[in-house]
Amino acid sequence: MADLWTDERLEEVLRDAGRRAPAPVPPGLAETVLARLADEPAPAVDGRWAAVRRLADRVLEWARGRIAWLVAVLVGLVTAVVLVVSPVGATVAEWFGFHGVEVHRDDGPPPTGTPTVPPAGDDLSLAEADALVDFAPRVPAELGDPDQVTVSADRKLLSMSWGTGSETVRLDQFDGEVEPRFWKSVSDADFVMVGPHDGLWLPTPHEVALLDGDREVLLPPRLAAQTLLWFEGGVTYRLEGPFTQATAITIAESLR
Amino acid sequence: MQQARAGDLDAYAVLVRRHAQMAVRTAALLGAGAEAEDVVQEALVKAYRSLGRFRDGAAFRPWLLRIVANEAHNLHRSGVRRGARERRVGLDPSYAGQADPAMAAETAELDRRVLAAVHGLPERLRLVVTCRYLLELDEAETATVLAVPRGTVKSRLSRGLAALRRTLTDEGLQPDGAEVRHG
Repeated sequence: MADLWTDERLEEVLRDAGRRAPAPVPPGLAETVLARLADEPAPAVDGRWAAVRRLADRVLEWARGRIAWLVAVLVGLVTAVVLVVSPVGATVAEWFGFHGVEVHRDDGPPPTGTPTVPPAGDDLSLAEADALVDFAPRVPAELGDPDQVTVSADRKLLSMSWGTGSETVRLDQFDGEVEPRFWKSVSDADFVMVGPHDGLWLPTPHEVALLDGDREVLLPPRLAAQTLLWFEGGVTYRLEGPFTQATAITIAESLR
Repeated sequence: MQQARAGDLDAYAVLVRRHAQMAVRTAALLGAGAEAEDVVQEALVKAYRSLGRFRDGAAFRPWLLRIVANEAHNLHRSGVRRGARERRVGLDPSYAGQADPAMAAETAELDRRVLAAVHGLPERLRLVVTCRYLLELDEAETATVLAVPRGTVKSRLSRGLAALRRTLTDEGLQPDGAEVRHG
């Protein structure tokens, strides 16, 4: 008796209820809207928005030209607005926002020591991890099935790893719209493309910490190895391992 | 579309008429209830002002519905229109039966219980289930309208359906609309 509600029947009942719910179009809606718009200028196709985009594009060009790693390139709305309200040189140069990742420049001496890439920890199968998180986890075909998979306690961050010791490769993925947030302090970085997506390559050892939405430290800072960051389909990816930039990008582009 | 963007209000009127029904349904089912008319009117005015941001080649419908969904959401948050929440579709016992007075009483009752169950879902699941099933948008449109990744839509849908199944089963409602008689 308990399981009579199949998905199919449930979906059907929902669709029927939705179709039968009354939602009459109010008479004169279009006329009312047009009357309110009658005195408006044409939509600002080439106005502020386009200007912001052009400005962002110019900044990007300038940044790439100078190999200035630290400039925010996001053409996304939030950053674009920041670009408008702040002098380009100041704000943008200090800060790089990457959907859940903050990269800060550190002009001090580069950290010493040998970075270690922690394996994910093998508490879950891929299918179990998949069921826990709000997005569809992806696996790079170049690396095949991960050796270890885990999901953070708050179910927002999924990590997988391949290999052990100094050969470990690690891939973190999380919904780019939510925390947690990786905080990175780096002395060097390059803009790269991962397929059609903007990415950031951090070629040198750097400190990385994991913060929650209130900027509380979830994982203490550790020294991270070479890392590729990119944002694709609403998910932020962070790939870390003992590889070259070209290898990292090849792995990143093989996500399935 | 091009003409509307160039400021041709007649062209925009064509778009408005074509999408008005869906916009009103979206506002009503996402919870604007009796305020759906205001929500849609506001959304259509904002959409016109934002046409410059509309990406060439993108689909107009989900783009518009996203603005409608935002307006409906804002309505909930504003204290000015208190009471709108209570008038939400699923919570008003008289609402589901209004469309067709001749609708069989059992059908109206089934609709009412199902909509009430949807409105009892946590917000994140409620929005996704509403877009995907009540409004019959596809997954990609749902993702655009709610501004969430597509994988998120998938996982919230399956969790939403599971929660609905539990609620309806707990209430003793059978898929044919009959009650399970207790004792």
